[in-house]
Amino acid sequence: MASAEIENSGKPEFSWGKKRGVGGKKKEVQFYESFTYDGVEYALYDCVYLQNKDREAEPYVGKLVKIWKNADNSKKIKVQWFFRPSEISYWLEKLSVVASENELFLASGDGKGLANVNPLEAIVGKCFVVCVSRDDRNPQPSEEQLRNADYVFYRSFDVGQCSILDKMNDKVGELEVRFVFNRQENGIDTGPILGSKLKEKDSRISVAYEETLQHLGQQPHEVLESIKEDGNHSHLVAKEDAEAGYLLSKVETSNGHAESFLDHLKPRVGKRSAPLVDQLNGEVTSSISQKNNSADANAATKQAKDSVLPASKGVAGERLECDPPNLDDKSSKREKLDDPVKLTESKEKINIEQLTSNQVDLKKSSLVSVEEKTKLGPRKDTVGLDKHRKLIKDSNVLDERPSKKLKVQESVKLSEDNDKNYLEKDNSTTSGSKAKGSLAAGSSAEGTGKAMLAQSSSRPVKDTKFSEDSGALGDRPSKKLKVQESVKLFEDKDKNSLDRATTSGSNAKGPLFAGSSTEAIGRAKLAQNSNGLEKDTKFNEEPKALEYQPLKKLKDKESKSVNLSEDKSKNNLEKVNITTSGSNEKGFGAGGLIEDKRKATVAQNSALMDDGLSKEKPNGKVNELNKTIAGPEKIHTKEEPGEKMEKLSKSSSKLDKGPPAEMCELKLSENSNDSIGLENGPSMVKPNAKTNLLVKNCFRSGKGPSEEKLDEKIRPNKGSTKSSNAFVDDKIYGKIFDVTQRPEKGKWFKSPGIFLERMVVAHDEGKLVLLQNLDPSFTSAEVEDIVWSVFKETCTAKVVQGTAISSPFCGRALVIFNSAEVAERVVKALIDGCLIISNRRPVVGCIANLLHLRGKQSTFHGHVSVDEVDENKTQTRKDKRDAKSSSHSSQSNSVAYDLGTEWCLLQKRSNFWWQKLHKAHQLQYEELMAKFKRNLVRDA
Amino acid sequence: MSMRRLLMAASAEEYAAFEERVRRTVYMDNLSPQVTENVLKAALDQFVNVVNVQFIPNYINPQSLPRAALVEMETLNQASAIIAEMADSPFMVLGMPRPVRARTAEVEMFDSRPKKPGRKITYKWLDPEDPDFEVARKIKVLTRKHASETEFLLNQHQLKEEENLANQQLETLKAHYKKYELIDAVLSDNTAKKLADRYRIPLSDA
Repeated sequence: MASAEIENSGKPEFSWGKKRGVGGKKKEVQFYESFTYDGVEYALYDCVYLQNKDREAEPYVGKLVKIWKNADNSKKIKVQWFFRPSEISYWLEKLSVVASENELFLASGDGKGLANVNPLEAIVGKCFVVCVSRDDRNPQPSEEQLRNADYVFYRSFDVGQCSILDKMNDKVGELEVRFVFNRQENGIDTGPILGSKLKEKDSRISVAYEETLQHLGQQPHEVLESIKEDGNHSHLVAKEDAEAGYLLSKVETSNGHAESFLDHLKPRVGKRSAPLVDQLNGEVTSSISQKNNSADANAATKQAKDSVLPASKGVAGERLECDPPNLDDKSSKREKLDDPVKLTESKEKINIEQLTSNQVDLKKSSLVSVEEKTKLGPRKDTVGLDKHRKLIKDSNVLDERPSKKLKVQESVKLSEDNDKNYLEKDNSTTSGSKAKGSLAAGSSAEGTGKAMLAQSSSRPVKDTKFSEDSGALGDRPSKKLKVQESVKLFEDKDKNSLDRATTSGSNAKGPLFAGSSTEAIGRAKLAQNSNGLEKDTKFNEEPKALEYQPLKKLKDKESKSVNLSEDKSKNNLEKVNITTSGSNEKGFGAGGLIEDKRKATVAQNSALMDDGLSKEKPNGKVNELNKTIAGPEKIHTKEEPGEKMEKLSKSSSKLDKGPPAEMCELKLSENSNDSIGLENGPSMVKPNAKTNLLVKNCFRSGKGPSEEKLDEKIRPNKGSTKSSNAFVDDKIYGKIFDVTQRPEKGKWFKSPGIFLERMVVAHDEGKLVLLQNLDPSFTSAEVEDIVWSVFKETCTAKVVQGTAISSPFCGRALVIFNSAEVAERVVKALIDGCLIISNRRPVVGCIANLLHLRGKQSTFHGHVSVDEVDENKTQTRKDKRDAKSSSHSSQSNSVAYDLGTEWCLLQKRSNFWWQKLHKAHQLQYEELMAKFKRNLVRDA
Repeated sequence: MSMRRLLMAASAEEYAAFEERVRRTVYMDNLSPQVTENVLKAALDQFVNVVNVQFIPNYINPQSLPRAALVEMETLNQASAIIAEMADSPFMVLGMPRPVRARTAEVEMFDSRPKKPGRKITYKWLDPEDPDFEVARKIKVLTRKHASETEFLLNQHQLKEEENLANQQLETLKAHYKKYELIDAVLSDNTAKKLADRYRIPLSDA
């Protein structure tokens, strides 16, 4: 059908390219290696978009594996399919596999869905898919390729087994593996076409790029996210060591903004803060250099690395205490080590190395070393966490090391985590003055965080997975637990801090802040309880046991540095507390300063602020941990703040030797400027949402059940305005936006049966939302577009099909969100705010509660199965059913006719009462609609 | 991509084709859950040529609701003919005596329907300060109220009525059955004959 229409709509130009060979019994089939269609040159093993039968759906993506012309001149292509994550989400969920948004899965194995023969005309366009498999056989994609890629893939989906494969065998489906991987740059396979491809790419890239730019324009987060997406690739490309820096580097390379941002930071930051900045820069540069290495092999970066190595060794000494084995191997190869711990450590080390190297470049001042130490302390904690995570993940991966694919994904996450932690650590180390740095770092951390979020959002399951996996690991479960919990702590802290920030200083800033930072809002809920501290304490108590070990390690590792770090962390904690609860009340110097700064910059920096806050929080967690070790109960008491403040001042004096507050302010202001540039778009809300997701996800995973409960309890208490702020910014009140098409949709498995299956699962998980009062003529795709445009969330939507009894003027749709948190947030926003669609209808949303889903179809009244009544009749009925013709219009002289007439009567009455009800409803509805004044145009 | 533009240009045409399909389609409900596509096709084949049968999934209503289907006919005439026929006399499929009900299909009943061409959807968040905000809130409340009223009518009235009718009919049938059984028994075990002898009534009628 599609092809026919295409042809009807004006035949696009077409010409065959290179011939390949002939086939068929009579040699009537001519195979080709390439062809030109509608001005685009396609070659064998190119990836293409194919028209989806379902017109509203996003086109399929497939790889050309055969091109030929039949005797009747019909042009055919055989494509091996790629699956979008959404298309196989059922199995992804089932297998607890997480996939990033732009990841595809190549069909493999044997069975339906592997490949299909299609008319050539079904091609919609060329699709640039990059294989990011780290397989030795795979020519690694360049940075540019990754950036320009529409999609990436490194795993395959076995259509026979319905499983995800991380390795490419020699044959993937019917395709030789060399055609699966990226082409050699010299274009062995399809050399001639490269040029045109490039063009295509360029155009597409430019589109993608524009998008990213837009994102950039709107928010740094977004940029980061987009970057991160690229990051996955680059990530893969770059070595894992680069991970930490790599996000940054991505930012840099991909975003001029980011660069400028960093640049700004540098000058602004005083010498004290300089280390931080330097670190950041160093990371960036190092990461960049790594990229370069991967891409162009910059000697400079290598040098940086080299320099880093010694430094890292020094650092390693400290770490040695923790994990002696790791210390020796500083090289990136460690990552590959069997021991996941090592991997993470090495990564971290690398990061540290990078930092140190940068610092070294700066001159390895004692300050730097101190900072490093301090960093190390907190880091270790976080590192421990990271490690645990990694361990978990790696443990999963261990078997599959060669493929590393899993690792890659996970490592991406990890790296991001690391970055976050790391940044956080840095911030903590730098303490007050570094608040600025932390902001910067925070922003980057956020970026990473967001990246994580994006990923995590798609994969809420990760954490849980990990935890589950941890069981398998055996000796590490406790660590994992720690990790998770610590993560929770972080998040909790973050939340608290955010909440406080929002509540205290940020409120003034108000809508912008809140609006931009959904996180803040989410936390704000927590904050509303104002028991943030209590919560924290609770959390702490639980995790304490778990945390124990890591802390001990830390202590052991760093005798003096530990103290420093602890102090710092305490300070951080104090700060956190201050910023959060205490600071609001007391208006501490440090906290106050920070808050003030934040407020000043809040509007623009809200994102940054959040980051900073979150970073601070992590520290707070660390601190908490430390405290728990040392003196568990002190942690959140208000007395501590004072002490902490002192410590802070001390530490700040030690470290910073200067007015930290000013520094911070400077940074903030600068950041704010940058951020201002970045944040103009209305879409600001999205990133936040994502971050929320992350937070939530982390939160989820981290929390024990009790915590979740807490969370739930807390939420209802939130101020409605705040929560609605999650999506609604003052700026956008009353403004009309177009609903744009969601960039990517997967409809592969949208058949009713599969949707029903998914719906039941989603219902159980609280991810199913029922939207009401939609225009009845909306299609499922349009609902998805709406959700995407308004909430920046991907979802699967299904409009509830009309029936005789459904309301003729009120459309409904079932929407499956990625997580229960998102669903709740959306519902909350819809309840608290008023979302008007097409200037007419306020949308109603609620978590779908479909109790009946579980039950089977109950009896169908009205078909008498009184077998004893008339056995003959039953017999004939069976016969008829077998013959599939059990229907008839009953004769007017039969009992059935009488009974049937009674049913007809009932149906008529039913008609009547439904009509009456709907009419009454419509009257009531229109009565209210009439009250809509000037703003709403009636477009019925 | 020029291809996409062409496709978009074709969307109006596509929608027109879809609307034509809607007109050719008959909505049928009161179908037993055991009715399958083949059964329905076979049942209708005596009147019309069925092109396609699609059951409407029931996502949110109680499962005891009878099934509904969209039956696409070959021509518009066939569609209207079948509706008239089924309105005329109770048409039962795969069971008795509850008849199938048919009516014209509507666009909203279709799952895979193309977007309305040229429609642009917009959205906005109402400012809480806006007087319309309150109105919108009321409308939202009303929507919920309507939904629950609908649900109530469906569960507490419609389904109850159906159940009642079914039970009542079952009773009637059982009563009939018992009556016939009784007569049969009386005739078969000679009781009738004995009684007839006793009362000297000729039994020839029986």
